[in-house]
Amino acid sequence: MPKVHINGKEIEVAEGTRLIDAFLQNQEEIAHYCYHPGLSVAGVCRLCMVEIEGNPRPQIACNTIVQDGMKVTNKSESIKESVKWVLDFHLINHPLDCPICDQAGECELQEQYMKFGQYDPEMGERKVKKRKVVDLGSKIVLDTERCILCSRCVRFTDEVTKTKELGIFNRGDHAEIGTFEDKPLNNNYAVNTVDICPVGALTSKDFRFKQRVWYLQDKETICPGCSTGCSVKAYYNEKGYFRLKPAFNEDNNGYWMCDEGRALYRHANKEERLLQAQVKADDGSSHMAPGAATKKLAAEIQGLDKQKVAVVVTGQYTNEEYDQLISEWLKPAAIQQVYHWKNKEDEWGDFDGLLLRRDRNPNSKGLQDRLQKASLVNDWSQLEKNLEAGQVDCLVVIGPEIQAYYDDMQDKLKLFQKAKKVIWLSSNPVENLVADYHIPMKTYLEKDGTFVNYSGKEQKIQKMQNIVSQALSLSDFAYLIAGKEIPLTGAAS
Amino acid sequence: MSPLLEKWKDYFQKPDRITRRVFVAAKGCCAIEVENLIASTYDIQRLGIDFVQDPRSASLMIVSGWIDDSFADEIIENYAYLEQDKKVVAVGICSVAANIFYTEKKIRLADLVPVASYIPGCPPRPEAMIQAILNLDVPAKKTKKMTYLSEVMKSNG
Amino acid sequence: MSIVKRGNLKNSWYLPAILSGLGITFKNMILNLFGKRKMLTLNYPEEKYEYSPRFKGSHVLTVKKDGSIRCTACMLCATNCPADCITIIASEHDDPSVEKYPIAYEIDTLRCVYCGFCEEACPVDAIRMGPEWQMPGINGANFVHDIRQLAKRPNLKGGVVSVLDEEERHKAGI
Repeated sequence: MPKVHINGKEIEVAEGTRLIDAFLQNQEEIAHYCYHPGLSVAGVCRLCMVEIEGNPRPQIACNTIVQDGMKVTNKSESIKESVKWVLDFHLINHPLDCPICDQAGECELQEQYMKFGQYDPEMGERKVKKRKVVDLGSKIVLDTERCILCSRCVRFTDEVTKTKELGIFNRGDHAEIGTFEDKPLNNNYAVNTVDICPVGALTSKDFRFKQRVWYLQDKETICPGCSTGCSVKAYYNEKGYFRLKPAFNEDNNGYWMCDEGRALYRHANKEERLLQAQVKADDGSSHMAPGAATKKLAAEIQGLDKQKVAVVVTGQYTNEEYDQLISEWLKPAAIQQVYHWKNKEDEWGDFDGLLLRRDRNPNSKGLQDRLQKASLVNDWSQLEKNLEAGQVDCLVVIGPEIQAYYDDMQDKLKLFQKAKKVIWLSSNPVENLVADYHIPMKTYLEKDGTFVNYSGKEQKIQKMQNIVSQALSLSDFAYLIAGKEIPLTGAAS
Repeated sequence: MSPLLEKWKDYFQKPDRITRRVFVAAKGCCAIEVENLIASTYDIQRLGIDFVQDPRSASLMIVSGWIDDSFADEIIENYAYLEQDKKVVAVGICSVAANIFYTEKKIRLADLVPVASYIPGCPPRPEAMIQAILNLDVPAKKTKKMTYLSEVMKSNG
Repeated sequence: MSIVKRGNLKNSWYLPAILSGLGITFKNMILNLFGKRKMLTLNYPEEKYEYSPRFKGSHVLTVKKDGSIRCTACMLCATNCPADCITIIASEHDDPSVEKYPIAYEIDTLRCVYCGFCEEACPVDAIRMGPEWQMPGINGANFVHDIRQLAKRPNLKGGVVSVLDEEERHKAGI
């Protein structure tokens, strides 16, 4: 294992690592734009200069493999001078766009400029003007003037998605990033280029001008879009949730996430939520607080014949909630008819090659394991037969939180209406639903819990900001409908 | 000699009637600006407004300064003592909106007593305070220099 | 035991000190009587005080030469404001050389301390503290000033033109 001295400290690294990895893994600061650990090495920005003892000129750290006994420093005066002048070169044609650029606050140029910058620029010529606000499809806006030609996005479309859409056109001062003839950038991983762009050249249309970055805080959680369960960071402040970005997870998704998962914060914001429980009364429907509605429902269910109560569950809730549901309500009340609503089960094995899987529920494996352990596995055709025969008095549907992938929702609604009483639990309103009780639930951003992904790995989600504070989680619902009170301490979510 | 006599007439005219007596419950930096009103630069006694020491003979209360629990008790007590047709004016944004101090407990004047007029500023100009008091239907009396209230309001837009 | 030396006669009597103070008051009165000095009283509704050009009064949002608002909704003023009284909503402009502009800009004047931090923070001279002092209002008046009142109220006579102009900068090639 080669040993290397970095800025005076002695560090042991694995064979074949690059110098810049040795710096970054040991929390030493080094300025870099074109290097990304998930992509190949380009060496075009010339910012990660280091001085190696025995070498007359500074070398770039991203393309130098560590040798045993190297003495490396990047804190000397000559390195600071060289970074300062290279930064000045990068800023030659960069426009004065900080007030209108979305990347302000997380821009790499701003960071390095505050540390190393030459505050009095020596550029005396006129700047080259290029095209701004170029529309690259429905998700991305390109601003060719702000680009510093680090070519991270070009390498991404080359190596990761292998679609090769982006390229560098023209030469010299007039070089710009773009697609051939401005064709839209429409693959399923396009918005990752917005994450890796160090400046504001590629920006996301979804987040454009909504909020300044320094007003937001972020926490790590798991994407509920499919059974892969990529690690993501959700950005929020007291006004709501604003965006999702991928978090680095070595075993699961690496540095990337797919675009379909990026829209999964909108259903948690207040405009799209169900705020109160809707109870069907004689003259239309009335509103009640969710806890009170559940207690009323518990009183009504008490007197019913348990053979005629059916429960439909979807795989979008956490393991702890399923445990509480089974142990507090299903087992003591001896309800046998529990059905797992599997949407398009025959396609569940599909995989698109990178990250997206066809099973769009984050926790179907966890649900299946728990139902099997409690021996509550039933066939879906049994439910259809019972509903046709009119043998179901009360149907409790624990509906999906993310309804976009349940295309057969309307057909299933027609089927479910055949029961005498329908109770629906979900966080957002459902179209064309006529239910006796529609109770609002919490979203995945408002609870603590565990999801199990397709390969059996358990991953945790964290509680962030509450948007609808009186919504119930599934374990609260289980306590109330069994006639007990929600315990004040202990239970998850 | 005649301009001098004109001026002397102002000194020897009959004292004007005081129509609005003000109880000043002012604390803090705004208190210094409120004290300006009765000093010689912005002499409000010629407008018929006087500061009194006893709330029982006042019909207008000026409140300024940071409101904490003991001051809140004092304000409520003094408000009860005011004469009929009583009004309260909040001067400066410590009493209007609990200013920019990042304390946990913020009391605004509107939480304690019904407020008739708000004067923003930190501290507000004395002209703003005079304007606020005049806006409250103070029946202004006619002096040699003053005009009626309606003309005052017209000239200030 | 120490010996305390008392002051001389002048200091131990109270009357000479009082008389010297009163002397100043009478001197001023006589000077005013005979017109040697101007009276300090500002008769407020008739005479108005003259403010310096840098007085920090009600806010003014500047406009460009063609009348549109200068502000680019960068939100630096809202971040720097110690009282959190500025609310801005940004939006996209049709002209790509003016990408961003505010569709809503509100200042809550009952929270504002008139400190001038927003004027210091603005990079494009879009907000200034104007020369009018803070207007008091009766309970129930509108204290939240929106963009029309800040930029185009009648006192401003059509809008104050900003000092920093984008066109000159683009023509100079910066």
